[in-house]
Amino acid sequence: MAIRPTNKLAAVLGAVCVFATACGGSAVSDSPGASGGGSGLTEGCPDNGTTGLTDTTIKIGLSQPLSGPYVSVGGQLYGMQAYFAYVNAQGGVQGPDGKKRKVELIYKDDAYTATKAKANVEQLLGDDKVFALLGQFGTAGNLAARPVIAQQCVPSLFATTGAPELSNPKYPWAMTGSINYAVEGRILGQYVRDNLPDATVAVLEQDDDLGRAYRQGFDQAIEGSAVKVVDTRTFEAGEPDVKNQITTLAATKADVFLDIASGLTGLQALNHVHASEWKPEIVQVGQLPVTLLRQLQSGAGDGLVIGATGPDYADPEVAKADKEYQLFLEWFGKVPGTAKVDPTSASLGWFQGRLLDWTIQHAATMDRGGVMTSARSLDYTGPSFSLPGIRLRTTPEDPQLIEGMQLNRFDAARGRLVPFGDVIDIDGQVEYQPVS
Amino acid sequence: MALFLQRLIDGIGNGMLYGAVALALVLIYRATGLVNFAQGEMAMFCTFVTWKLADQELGFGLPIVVGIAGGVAFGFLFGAAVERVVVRPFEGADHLRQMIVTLGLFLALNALAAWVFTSSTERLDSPFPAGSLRIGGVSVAYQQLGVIAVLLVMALLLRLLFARTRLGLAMRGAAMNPESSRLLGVDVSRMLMVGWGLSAAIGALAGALVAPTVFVSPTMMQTLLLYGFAAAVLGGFDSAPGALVGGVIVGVVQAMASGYISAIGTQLQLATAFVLILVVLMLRPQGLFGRVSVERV
Amino acid sequence: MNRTLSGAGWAAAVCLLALAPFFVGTVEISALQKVVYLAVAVMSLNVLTGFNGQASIGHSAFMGIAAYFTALAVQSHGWSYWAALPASILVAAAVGALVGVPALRIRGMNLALVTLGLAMVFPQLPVRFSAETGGTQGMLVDDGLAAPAALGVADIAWRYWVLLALAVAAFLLVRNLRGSRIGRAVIAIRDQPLAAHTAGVNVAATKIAVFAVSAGLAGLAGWMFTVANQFVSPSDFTVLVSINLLLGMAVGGSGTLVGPVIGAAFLYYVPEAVNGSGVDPMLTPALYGLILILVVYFLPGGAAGGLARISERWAARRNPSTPAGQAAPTPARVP
Repeated sequence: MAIRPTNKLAAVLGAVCVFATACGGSAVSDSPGASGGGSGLTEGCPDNGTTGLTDTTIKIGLSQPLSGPYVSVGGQLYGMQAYFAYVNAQGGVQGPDGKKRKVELIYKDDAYTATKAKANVEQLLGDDKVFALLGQFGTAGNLAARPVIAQQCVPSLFATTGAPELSNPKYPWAMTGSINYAVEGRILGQYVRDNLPDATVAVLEQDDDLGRAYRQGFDQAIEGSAVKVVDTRTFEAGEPDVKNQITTLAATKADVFLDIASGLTGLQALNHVHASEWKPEIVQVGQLPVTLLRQLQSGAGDGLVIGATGPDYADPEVAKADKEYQLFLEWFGKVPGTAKVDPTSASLGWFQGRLLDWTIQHAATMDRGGVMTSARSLDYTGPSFSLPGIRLRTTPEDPQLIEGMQLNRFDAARGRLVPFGDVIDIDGQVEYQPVS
Repeated sequence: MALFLQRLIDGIGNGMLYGAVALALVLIYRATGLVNFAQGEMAMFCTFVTWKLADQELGFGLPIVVGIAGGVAFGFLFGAAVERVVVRPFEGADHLRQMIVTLGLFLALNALAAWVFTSSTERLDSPFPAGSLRIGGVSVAYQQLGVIAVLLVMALLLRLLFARTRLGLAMRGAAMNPESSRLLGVDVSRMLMVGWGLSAAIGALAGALVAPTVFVSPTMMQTLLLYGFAAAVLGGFDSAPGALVGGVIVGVVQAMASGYISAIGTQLQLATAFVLILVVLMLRPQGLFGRVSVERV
Repeated sequence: MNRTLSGAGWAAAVCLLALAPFFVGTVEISALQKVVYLAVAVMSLNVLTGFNGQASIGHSAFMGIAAYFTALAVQSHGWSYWAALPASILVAAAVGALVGVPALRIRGMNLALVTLGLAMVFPQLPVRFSAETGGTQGMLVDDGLAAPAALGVADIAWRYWVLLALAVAAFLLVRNLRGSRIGRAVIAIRDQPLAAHTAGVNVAATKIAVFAVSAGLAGLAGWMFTVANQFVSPSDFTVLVSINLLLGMAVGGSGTLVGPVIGAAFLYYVPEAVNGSGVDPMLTPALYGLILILVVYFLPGGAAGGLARISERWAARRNPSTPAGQAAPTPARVP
């Protein structure tokens, strides 16, 4: 008795489905890379690359954590909102076609889950029809979304990740904005090689791809010199404490302690070294912003060497003296919901907005191909939060934006970074190589 | 030799952190018969209250001891309130539903703490003096010594509470055999409420003790949780001193393994703790100090 | 009569879902793919927890094992997805059976603890072996599951149909198992362990078998995960995923067949709705937790139980002579 309605239903649905196929435009007939109009960068691209543009607006997309354990890193969104509010108040971003377009920022939460980030990118491209992605956050999410970006030829600009793999020139539509971990490791290695030529080094290393990337760069820089790594202790991200590792490293009495640890673990390591009788020169990777360094026990981490690409805006005097930072603060204050957001972490988003603005202004044509080509041959000289002496330059062969750092010493008593020496910029000296 | 002693001390120090978490788990198990998956998050939330009271810049800048007292007091009220509002409706329900409820609490408290307080990492000062005691080549931080002393006192007090006082007996009875307790005139619901309050208060204290090492953040207790479980399982889920001993064993084994067995080193420490839980539950489910429970038909 | 009607309802729903690629775009289809594998994952947990009463917070690990197995087999060892399908299910089932052995001695909360440990440890394994797996940054699978050229349909639609067909097969399997002798034994162990033992049910073997079947189904969901995403990373298989599966099961209704489908839709679409609603997304997990507690309180049978109760009332109103409760099967309660 119940079989008949099913049959009838199936017949009706079948008829509808035949009708629908005739209409097209559905997932069943989706065929990638069909039109293939362009050449070079845009070869095999599905359209002419003006999706997300009107004569007066441009849509930009972003997926980043807004919930979950990594929510604290999400400040960049608010900085971006501040910049776009500022530039929209002046009529918008000027394109090569002479038109000013107001920026519409569409953002989604991925809770730092890679496949959620990928799904968000699919939605941003498919449903929201954004023109480009800006500051995509996190290594895994960027990697997961890379095939989607490549297939649809959408610029993913200045992604917030330092993983060397995301600077792979084989994937021209994805580029990063942060300094690459391996490049930073190399700069730190150069410092040790040049200033402490016979040093012994004890290393605390995060046991994952991030830790290995730093280490690879460091090892390359000290290769052939008298600097020698005497012991390496690893730890897993998420271990409650690293006291055991520090005790073992302290027993080596090495001259230098290289701390390849981020966030909480980095702080613990520095506290434990301070409590021990080991007094090495500490070289810290830049995964510890000065706001975190200030959470150290008093006296811990004093004099440690850490690289930075920008001035220490957590220092009120530095912040006050910087016109661009003051402009940022003015607009940041107008963004709703920023009362609890740390402005120094949000400033990254403002700078990403600046970079996008410049990239569009300097594009040859106002389409995705033109903007991506512009991003891959950038020589940025506008207002910036990076230090003078660090070149913000990309070429198609070397798409890494930042390859220089200023070394600082941490002044624990004042809770500030004090720059020393010249900026070390190795722009163009490092080729892409996978981390092994 | 000095290195060996230093490792031993490191291990005991770390083990005490696990023991602190285990103590709170044991207490709630004895007082309510439940393994509370939200225990760590409740402790984290209370530690944030302590931090808010004591922090110089972002909080009220009260002395740290006052902050801890406030956090512990808040913990008691908070735990009792959670029992009354969230857990009471499920009193007598099966374990699965109770477990799902504590997982719901876990999610909610974690997100709420980030929203109410902050999602970044904050420092909480130790109530003990900075610096370390140096004997020979070995250094012991005063913080470590203080933590050990406080936890030992806590464990003894808890033992006395459950073994010697009417309240403790009533709580145990309410948790393990509510029907008979009711017949004997024990207000079972009230006892469970006190049990939740007490264990949240102990959690708040444990949070304040571990915070100088693991800092204050919404995830601060999550990394400790599995080690805390391991310590509690090893010590026997119903013994307070056992929880501390279990924690110390886990900590010392870790310290020695990472120092002397280079093949294991520091890799897969969490996996080691997991295997330990498994082995103990298989071979000696009552742990080292627990009592065998008999299943009655 | 009710059984045939609900059969017709299922058939209509599957037909509608099968036709979806003709009507909606790729974004919606890839969302539906996720709902499909989440439904299988929730179902796998349901088999263990809902039917057999053994709690698990470890299903993210079973999923992850199969997902990583598939990704490694396809990307690094040149297997086809089809070859990886049975293998990945078997691997997950074998690990499940291994976990099932201690489950014989360890019960209730302690079992939950052990599975919690498994879920916490699993994400560290790919990080440890990052040379093969890419570590925390994850691993792309370059080749997707391609549609047979003869069909002339897009790959994404084909993948969706494959996932849907496998999910339907899995659901039918579970339905038939539930009605069988073994299935009744499984439920008897949940409700009356000692009585089941006395009645001659081999409790130990049945429990291990249920663990294996449940983990194998979770493995199927893991295979589907890799097919749908062509990417695996440790962040996709954390403890939170397991907790979400429990949430999906509780919301949908444990011990039922339609529950996992409702639960999966909930897990996928509620965060989307929160994202668009203007509520601070930071509070999404808090909202989840609140819903979880409220559902367990007000709807112990989950949404499926609630639906059954409503239809029960309707039937009673239309046909007052039939006592309520006979017209529709009573919703299976959370054990």
